[in-house]
Amino acid sequence: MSTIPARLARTATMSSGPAEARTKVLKLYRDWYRGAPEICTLYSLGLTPGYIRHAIRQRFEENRHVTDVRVIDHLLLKGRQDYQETMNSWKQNDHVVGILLAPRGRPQQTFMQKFLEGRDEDQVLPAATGIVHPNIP
Amino acid sequence: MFRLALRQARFAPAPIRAIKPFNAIRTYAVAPITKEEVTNRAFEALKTVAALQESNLSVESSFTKDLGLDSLDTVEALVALEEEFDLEIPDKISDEIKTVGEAINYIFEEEQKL
Repeated sequence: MSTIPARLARTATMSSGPAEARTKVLKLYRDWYRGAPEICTLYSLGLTPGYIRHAIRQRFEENRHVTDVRVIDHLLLKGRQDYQETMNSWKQNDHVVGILLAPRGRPQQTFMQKFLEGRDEDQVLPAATGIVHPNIP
Repeated sequence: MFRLALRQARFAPAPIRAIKPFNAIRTYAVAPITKEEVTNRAFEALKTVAALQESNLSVESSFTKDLGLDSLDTVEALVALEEEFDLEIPDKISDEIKTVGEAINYIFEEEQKL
């Protein structure tokens, strides 16, 4: 199978506001979500599309708190690059399973482990970055 | 046993060799899809979305307001419908779809075009 490298290439663009950035994020999520079965067959992962979708969803949820449009644009650029690399089969299986789909949260720790590490509460996510826009809830 | 077989052979009815009259009416293998069918299949497909498994679906219910989905869940619901009906909803239209009924209407219209 030959790939057309420029097929999924997107230029880096600046969003005019949070609304435009939001539609772009949804479009990227839709592309990933639609592409999950193809990723399974492309890399013959032995995983269900549902698992891939769950992992992708977690990637998006990690950045839910981001409100700065410039940061969102940057994340979109990286997401697009990742999508292009994945769908054009420029990755190896390990890149997909070990990096793209690997669960990223901190592993569960016992009280003693936390105590020895010097903190007894997990780090909390920042509430927001940059300016909070009143229009977008 | 042989006698029984012989008896059955003797009384076996002669095969009917009537010629079937030519059927002038053209029939289709699949009847055109009805709105009801689209609705039922759409509900079945929407039930597979994790966020919608417990919710009460109706045609009027809005994805965000009534069913309590966030924007990513809505994308998931629409892709589930796309996969069920084997079509691709363009981005512009899927941004405008807000209720289950709107999605069903769009799918029904697309199915009519086929």
